[in-house]
Amino acid sequence: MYLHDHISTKIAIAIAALSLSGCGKSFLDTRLDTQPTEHNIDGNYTSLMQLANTPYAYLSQRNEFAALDGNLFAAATDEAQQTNTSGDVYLFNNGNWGAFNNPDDRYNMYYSGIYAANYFLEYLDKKGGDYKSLLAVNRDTITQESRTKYLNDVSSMGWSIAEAHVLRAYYYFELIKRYGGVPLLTKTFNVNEKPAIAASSFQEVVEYIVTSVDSHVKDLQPNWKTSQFTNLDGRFNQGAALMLKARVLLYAASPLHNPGNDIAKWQRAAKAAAEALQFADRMDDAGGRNALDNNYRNYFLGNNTLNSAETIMAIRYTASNDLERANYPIATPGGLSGVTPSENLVSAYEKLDNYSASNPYENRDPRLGYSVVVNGSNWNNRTIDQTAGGSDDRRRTNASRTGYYLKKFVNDNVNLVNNATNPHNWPLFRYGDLLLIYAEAMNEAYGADQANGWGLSAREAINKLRARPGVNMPAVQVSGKADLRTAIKHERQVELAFENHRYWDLIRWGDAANVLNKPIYGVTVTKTASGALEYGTRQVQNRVFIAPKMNFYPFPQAEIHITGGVLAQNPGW
Amino acid sequence: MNTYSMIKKATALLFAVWSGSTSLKAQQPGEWIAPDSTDSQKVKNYGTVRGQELEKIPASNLTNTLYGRLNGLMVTQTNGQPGYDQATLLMRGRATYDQAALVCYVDGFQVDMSFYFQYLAAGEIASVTILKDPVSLATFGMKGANGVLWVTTKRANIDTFRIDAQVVSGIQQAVKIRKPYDAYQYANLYNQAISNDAYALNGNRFQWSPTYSDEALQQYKDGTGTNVDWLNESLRDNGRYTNTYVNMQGGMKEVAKYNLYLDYMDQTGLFNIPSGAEASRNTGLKRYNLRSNVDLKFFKIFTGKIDLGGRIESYSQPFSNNTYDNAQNFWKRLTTYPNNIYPVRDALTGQWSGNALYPNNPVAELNALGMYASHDRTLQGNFSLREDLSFLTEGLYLEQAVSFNTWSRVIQNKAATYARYYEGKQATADQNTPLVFGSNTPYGQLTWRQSNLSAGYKRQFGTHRINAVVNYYASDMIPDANEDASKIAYHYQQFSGRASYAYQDKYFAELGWGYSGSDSYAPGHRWKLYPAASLSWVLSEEDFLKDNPVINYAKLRLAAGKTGNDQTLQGRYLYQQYYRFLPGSVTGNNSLSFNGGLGLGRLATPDITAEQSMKYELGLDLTLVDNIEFQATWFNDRRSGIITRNNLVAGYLGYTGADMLPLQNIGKVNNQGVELGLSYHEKIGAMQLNVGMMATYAKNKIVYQAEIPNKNAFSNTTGLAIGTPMGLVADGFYQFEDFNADGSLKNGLAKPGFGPVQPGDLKYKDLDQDGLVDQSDVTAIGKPAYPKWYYALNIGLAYKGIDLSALFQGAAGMDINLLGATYNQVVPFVGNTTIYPIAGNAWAYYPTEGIDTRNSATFPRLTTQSNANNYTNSTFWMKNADFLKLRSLQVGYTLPSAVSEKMQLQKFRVFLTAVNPFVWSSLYRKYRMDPETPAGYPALKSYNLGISFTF
Repeated sequence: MYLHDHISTKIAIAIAALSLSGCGKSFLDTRLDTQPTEHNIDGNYTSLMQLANTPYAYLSQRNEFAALDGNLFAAATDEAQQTNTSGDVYLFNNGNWGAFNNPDDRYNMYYSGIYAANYFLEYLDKKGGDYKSLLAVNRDTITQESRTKYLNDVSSMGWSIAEAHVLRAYYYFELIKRYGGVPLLTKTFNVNEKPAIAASSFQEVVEYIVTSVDSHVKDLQPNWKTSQFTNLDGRFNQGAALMLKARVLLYAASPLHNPGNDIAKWQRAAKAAAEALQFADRMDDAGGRNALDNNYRNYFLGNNTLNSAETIMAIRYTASNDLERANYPIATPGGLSGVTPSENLVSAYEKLDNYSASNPYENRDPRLGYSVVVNGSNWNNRTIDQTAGGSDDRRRTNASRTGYYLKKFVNDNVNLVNNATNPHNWPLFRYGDLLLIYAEAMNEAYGADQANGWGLSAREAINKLRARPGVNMPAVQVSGKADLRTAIKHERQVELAFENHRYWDLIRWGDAANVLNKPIYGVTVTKTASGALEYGTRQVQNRVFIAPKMNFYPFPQAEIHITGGVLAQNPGW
Repeated sequence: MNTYSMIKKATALLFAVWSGSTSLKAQQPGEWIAPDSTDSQKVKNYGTVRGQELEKIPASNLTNTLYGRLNGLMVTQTNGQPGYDQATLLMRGRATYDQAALVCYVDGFQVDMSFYFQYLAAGEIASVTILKDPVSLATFGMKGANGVLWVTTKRANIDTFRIDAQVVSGIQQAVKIRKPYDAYQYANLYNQAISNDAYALNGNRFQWSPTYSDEALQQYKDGTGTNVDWLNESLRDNGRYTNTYVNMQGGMKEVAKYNLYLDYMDQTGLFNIPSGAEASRNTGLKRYNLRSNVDLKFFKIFTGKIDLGGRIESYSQPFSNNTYDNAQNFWKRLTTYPNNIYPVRDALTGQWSGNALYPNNPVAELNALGMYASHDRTLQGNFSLREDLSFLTEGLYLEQAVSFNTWSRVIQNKAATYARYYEGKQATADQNTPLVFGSNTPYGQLTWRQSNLSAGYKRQFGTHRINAVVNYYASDMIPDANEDASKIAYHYQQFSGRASYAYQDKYFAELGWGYSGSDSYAPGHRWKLYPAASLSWVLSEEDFLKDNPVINYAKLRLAAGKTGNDQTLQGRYLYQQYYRFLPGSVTGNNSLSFNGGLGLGRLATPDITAEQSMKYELGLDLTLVDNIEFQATWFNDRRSGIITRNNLVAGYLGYTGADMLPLQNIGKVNNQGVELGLSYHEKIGAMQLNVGMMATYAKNKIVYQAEIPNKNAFSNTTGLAIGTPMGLVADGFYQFEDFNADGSLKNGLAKPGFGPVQPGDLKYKDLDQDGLVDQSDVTAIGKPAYPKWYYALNIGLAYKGIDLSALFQGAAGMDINLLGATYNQVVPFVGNTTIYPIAGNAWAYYPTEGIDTRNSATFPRLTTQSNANNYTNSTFWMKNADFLKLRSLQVGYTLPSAVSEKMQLQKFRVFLTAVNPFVWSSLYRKYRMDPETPAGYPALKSYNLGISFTF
């Protein structure tokens, strides 16, 4: 009996003991990783290269051709009118946008780009900074073919590091262009840190951008097209960095940020523009080899933008026909009219000799015909006739309200029914714009005809642009800084139409309150009894722009709330 | 005979010791502390229901038998389709916006609700209890916060051999099939819609421009035009339900007892497919259950249990693809195809009809696409051993138990296609193909091993009674990972314990604790302690109430405790930082290269842990005049640490996007309410009457969810109940007076931001007075879709051999959004759909046709184009979904024992049961929509006849 009891007791205790011993912590380790962890990243040389590529994603994350309502941003300015009666663009047109609904809110996007650049640079630093050996990890660098690949990667990485700095500077430029002074972050923060970073001033960020460019421009690739790395064309290069600096300094010298008209700022901008121009004009391996394109119409189509010498840097997108679909006239199968140029823009194109009001589109600045589909022109396999009963009858639902259709960037005769596609590439920095930046800065700094030792005076620069083969506009004759300034402003309006400069130019000149507050006009075409065409104007829409608050975008209200007010909202919002 | 009575006594004693202590968790609050179950002072426990009660609703899914049975358990039906009819179970409302589902334990081990619990047979169940008080739930540690459904299966409780058998058979019908308008009405109203759409083109005026000519309309009226009632053609009136079971129990005195249970259930659905069809099969479920629970006693101190429960399910449906979505898509087509599109079979060729606009003929979809069958096998085996160590110290015992649970499902797919013909010509590229065997693949499987070790002590010293248990539990579940690495294994460990002390059976104190560890969290953050305590005072034992004639029993309860919830919908291993491949740069001139990038994936939260629930409870139990029992409990559940995406991260840090922001334990919700129970029993002559009522009220509020504040405070969802619908406030219809001649709105009226408007469209309030009706005018527009009030009334009547029982169950305080699941049956014409009577009185003004509903309209003007202004969430589309249903009505007759004994039977009973025969609801009255299943396969009502007998 007792033995029996002892045994049962022992069994009982043994079972109890067994039970407790089975509770090792390892029982609760069940995690299996199928996605890369830090361990995987560190052992892999491709990680470094991929980290270097990531900041570029934010350059093309927002398709510039679909910036607003799936179409160009131009409909928010006096350049064009959106045909659709509803859309985000009306928030701009009617002045109803604000801190809670800003259709062009790219705040998070650009800061993600800045973060990606910061992360890449910090990662490199954390690993010691010696990218040559990092790229040699776990890789064959001895065999001929592999070694070549390794050396190519090393070169590419060297440029990538400099590009990360310049790309970050570019993102800051895009932010201050919109918001004025913004928080300046040069390192990454953990998500749980709450660094109370207030907005730096506009000037502080400008200095940061200029310093970034100055310190790294020499390490950038001068010209991708003539190097052995044409497949990497699309990344930042020396010409683009110099032009970025010129553009930033130009904005910093403009009336909005330079209310006292400090000439020193304009001189600084002129110097930067001259540097960029000299680099672009250089035709050797160490230069940009840029020149004006011969064909203004075709330059903006397909891969011409990428192959042309005028392009200093362009953003690439996959081929599509979205732009054609959105902007072909409603009478074309598949077309939606979309963003239509306004009479305000069209009337800005100069009239040449022999101009007559009965044929208002003949004897005009050729760029009008290259950028805008006018009545009577040939488009989509027909002659556009907007008179009553014509192929593009204006009274048709969703026909252009301004009497024009978009031509720049839009390929003609694309078969939308069969879904034919074309590449569309966005020129971010181009030679024509550089000439205008130079002209504007030189004019303000030194007057119309002073070259200051840099070869071209302001007038010469603008005339060089106007003398583009295929455009051949007569030289600008006006004298005096003020008149040339007007001429330059006008030239920017027509040369850079639809390239997303107009809105920012008007704001930085301080002209937005006058120009963007005026109604948009369109043209009416009627056929008289004799068959002749009669042109009149009509008002299409009233526009609203409230200065001075709308000179800067409001920070997203969520941001103001999350930072607890450390980030102050822009005045007026 | 006297040995028999001795055995009976011994068995009773053994049973009393066994019944409460398979493992820690079988202790039920209030029941084992209170004296022996024969004591009439024990208050009726509204949280428990016996299996026999559940059998009063013959249903294939066990969750559908739980309506109104357990106080605090809110059961709502979601779908009636066999195989997909699992009801949603919530304990005391909803306390978290993450996973709020209960966990289920059968015979002391956790089981999966979907794969195991829902297809247990009601006849297998001995009792179902809902554990909701803080002390019990604390002993479940990280599993307890949402409540625990504690199920025990039938065990033998007598020594002699006995057979119980039952056969139930009946028909099942849809609760209500709402039909759309017939072809004539459809065409008439379609003409109206088309004319409305031409308003702007006609120069901003209403001009009658019909599509269907008067002759066409006349043909529909006469019956010579195409008018197919798709619902009638595709569905049959009745489905079948049959359930038989046999339960044998018996034993060998002092050695073993067994309870063997066999069950067969067959349910067919409502699809109108002939039973001998070659290419298809009606939806249906066949189920075979087997359970064998054996109790052993040996070597004086050992008692063992061997429980085996197994099941085979065979499910079929007429769609050749197994996804639930396929059935939903079928219902969408069935309920939206207009009556006049084409006859079921093309008149000229006799083939199935179809055309490019309506390619999926509902009748053909049922009959000619093939079939899908799935076969499930489940087996749960529980083995336990208990040692009564009273020889060491009286009242000490040890117990060990292990459980193996496996489930697997194999599917068989046979697919075919059919050619569509329209007016004699083939309309699409599909061909008639014969039935092709698709696949016989494993669909999923589950293996679950659990073990439980406990040691307990139960003793009474004079007026002091002590009961204490400590427990160790481990669980290893291997589900079908389905290529998701986070689902490879679920491991869980827990130490828990409970101690209670009773003094003079008047004052009770209880302490419970759970210390659980879950594998979803990082080492160092895995284990958490959840303590709880409760105090009770039996007032009726006090001198001032002891001899009170009215109050027979009064008890006051107070409890508070912590418990946790490690189930989350947000994912596991959130502490681990992963990287992901992102877009990078696009380069190249004549051909593009996409150079990939790399970046952080979702930001990790190293200290992620389980959601925590602080529960408080205050209760009163009363028994009055011996036949009225009343129970009231106030409860409060404060959830914190709900895994929520932290949106309040500054944008300039660069972390943006819903897939990047970290998931952290920052959410907070408060849920509180009252639970009431009242029962009354009376014996009036030969008639026995039992009436029971229970009601639960629960209201929750989101305290914090890292929401970015909206422009206006009234648009924020923080501070409102979980799931509060948000939208615009409707303000009537636009009338002619609101417009200028050119179609623009008059000055002073707020401009609608969702699209152009014309007379007859819905007008909304501009709540922030900014002249625009847009997203900033969104606010709370109704109550959430789950009930605030959940109540039930149970009536039982017995007179001589006749018994009658009725169960009413209702829910109140909820709204339904007509643009939600029922969108397709509310919004007419858009997307080429049909029109239902709800849209019959739309705004229209065609004086030439004699139509003028400007002031009496109940629906915005009809349109065939998508309309963002009218069909957007607003108060107009929110309807009250409160209801009261008669869930079960049973009438039975038990043959008098004299008669049944002649037939060698101990008992013989015949009964009729009606399930869901009546529903009272404003939604049902006005729109003929069942408030629980307004769209999709409808809920079922059934009429059954049954016989049960005992040998």
